[in-house]
Amino acid sequence: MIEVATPGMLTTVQDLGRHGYRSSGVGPGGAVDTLSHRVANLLVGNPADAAALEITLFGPRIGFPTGAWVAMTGATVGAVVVTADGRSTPVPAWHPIWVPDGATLICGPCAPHGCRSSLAVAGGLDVPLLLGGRGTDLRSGFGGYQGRALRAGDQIAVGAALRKPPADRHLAVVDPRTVPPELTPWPNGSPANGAAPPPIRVLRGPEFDAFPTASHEALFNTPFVVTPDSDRSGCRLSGTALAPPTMTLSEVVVAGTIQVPPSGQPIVLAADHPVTGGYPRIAVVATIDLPRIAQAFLGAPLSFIEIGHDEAQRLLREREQSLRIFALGLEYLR
Amino acid sequence: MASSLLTIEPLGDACLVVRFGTGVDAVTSRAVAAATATLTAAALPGVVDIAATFNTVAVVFDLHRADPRALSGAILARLRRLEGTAPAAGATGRIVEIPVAYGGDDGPDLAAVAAHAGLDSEAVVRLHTTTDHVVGMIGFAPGFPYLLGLPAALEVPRRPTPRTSVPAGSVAIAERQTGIYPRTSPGGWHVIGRTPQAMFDPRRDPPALLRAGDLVRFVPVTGPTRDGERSG
Repeated sequence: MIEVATPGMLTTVQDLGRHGYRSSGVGPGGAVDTLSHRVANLLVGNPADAAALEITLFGPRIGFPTGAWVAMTGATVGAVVVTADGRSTPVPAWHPIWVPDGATLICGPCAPHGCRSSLAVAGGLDVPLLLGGRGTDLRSGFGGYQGRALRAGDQIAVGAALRKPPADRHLAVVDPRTVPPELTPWPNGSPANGAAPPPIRVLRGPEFDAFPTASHEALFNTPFVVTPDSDRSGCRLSGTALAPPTMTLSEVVVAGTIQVPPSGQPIVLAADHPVTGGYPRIAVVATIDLPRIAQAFLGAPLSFIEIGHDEAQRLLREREQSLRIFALGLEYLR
Repeated sequence: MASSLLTIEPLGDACLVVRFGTGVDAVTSRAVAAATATLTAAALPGVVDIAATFNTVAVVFDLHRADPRALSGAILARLRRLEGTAPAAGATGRIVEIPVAYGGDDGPDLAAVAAHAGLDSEAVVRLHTTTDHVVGMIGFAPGFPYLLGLPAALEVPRRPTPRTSVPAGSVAIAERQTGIYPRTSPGGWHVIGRTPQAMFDPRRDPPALLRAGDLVRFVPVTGPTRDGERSG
C-alpha cells in the first residue's frame, strides 16, 4: 500500500487505456505518455500495462509504509527518497530505486523539458478493473482510484511484486541499469543540452487537401507553441492561424489527430480525447512521436514535418524491437 | 450494401476508416451497424478497437502487430461478404423504449421549439413520441446517442449560445436529430424533456444503453424525474 501525503498538481492512476468501448463512446484514456509508462513498469519487473501514477507538472509526496521498488520515467521531477532516519537520496529518472519501509518519496516540479512523469511501483497499483482498464477517466468520473485525481490521505493498494527486495531493505538503493535514449520521449538526448528538438513527424489527415495551400505551408514551415489550456484531452497550440474548411459531420478521431477549430489554432488530441470530433483533421502525429507530444511543455516550440506511412511503420517497428530487447534484458527482475 | 460506395482510407498510421458514402440516413446507419458487428466478430489480428460514425467504421490497430495493407485487405474481404444481404430494420434488431418527462423544468426549450414549429407543445410531444428514431452514432461523450429521424416539422437550428450546463438525462433536439445527455455537460441543443434512464454506466457491459443501429421510441411520462435513478 502507498499513502498520498500531498497529491501534487494532478496525479492520477493510469494504465495503457481502455480498448474496445469506442462504440459506446468511451475513448482510450490511460497514460498520455505510454512509452514512459511502459518503461517505468518494465524497470520494476511489472507487465508494461500495469497501473501506475501519472504526475502532471508538480509531483506528490508519497509514503511507503512497506518498502517497494519504484521507477520514475518521463519528465524529471527532482524526486528524493527520505528514509525514517531522515537521510535523503536523490531518485534519478529512468532507474529503478528501492524505497525502504517507512520512507517518503518527495517530488518537486517537472523540469522544463517535460510535463508528465510516470511513477511505477513493483506489483502495480491494485485498483479495480473497469471496462478492461484501470485508468482514471476524470471527465466521466470512473476508473482509477475512485474515479478522480489523488488527494491527501488516499491509500492505494499495491499488488504482489515479482522483484525481490535488496539485501539491506533499510537503504534506498539505486539500480545502475538505465534506459537507452530511443526508449524515452527524448530520443536525441535531453533538450537541456540546448539542442533544438527535431520536428514532430505527422501524416496527412483526411481533410488535408481541403485546407488551402497557405495552411499547409504554415503547418510545415512556421513554429507553434503549446498553450496553458492543454490537458489530458489535447495539446493546444498557438501560431499562424490555419484556415479550416467547413465540416458538417462528426468523424472518428484518434490520439495524435491534429484538429483545426474555427479559430485556426490547432489542437493535437491526447489520451482523453472524445471518440468523435467535428473539426477538420489536417494531419495526424505518427505513433512514434506521440510521447513527444505528451511531454510538450507549456510554451515549448513545436514544428511539424510530413512523413509517409511506410516510414511511420518502420520507425515504430524499430522502437518496438528495441523495447522488446530491453524488456528481455530485464527478465532477471522477475 | 453497395460496394461501389465503400472506400477505405487511413487516419494516421494506426487507424483505417471505411466510408459508406456521404449520406446521413437510417439505411446508411444500418449498413454501418452491420459492418461494425461483422468486423467486431472477425477479431482481426492486431485490431484493438472499432468506432463508428453516421457513415464510417474506423478500425484502430496496433501498428507493430498488424500490417496496414494486409489489414485493409482483410477488412474489405469481410465487408464484401455482406454485399447483397439487406440489413434488417434496426441492424441490431433492438427496439429500446425511453421514458421522457416533456416540458416544464425537465424540458425548458419545449415551448420555444413549439413556437418555432408553429405548433403547440402537445403536438411537438406527439410528433416526437410517434416517430421511430434510429441511433446513427454514439459520440461526444460516453453513451451520448445521435438519433436520426426527427420529423421535418421539428427541425430547429442549434441554440445561438450553448448552455454551460445541461442536466444528465436531458433529451434535446437540433437540426434533424435528437440527443440524450448521459452526464451533466455543456450543450447547444434544445432541451425538450428529460429521462430517468441511465444512458451510460461503466459497471454495465456494454456501458452505453444504446448502440448504433438501435431503434428508439420515446414514451411520454408525467411527473418529476428522479435524480436517484441517474448515474453520471
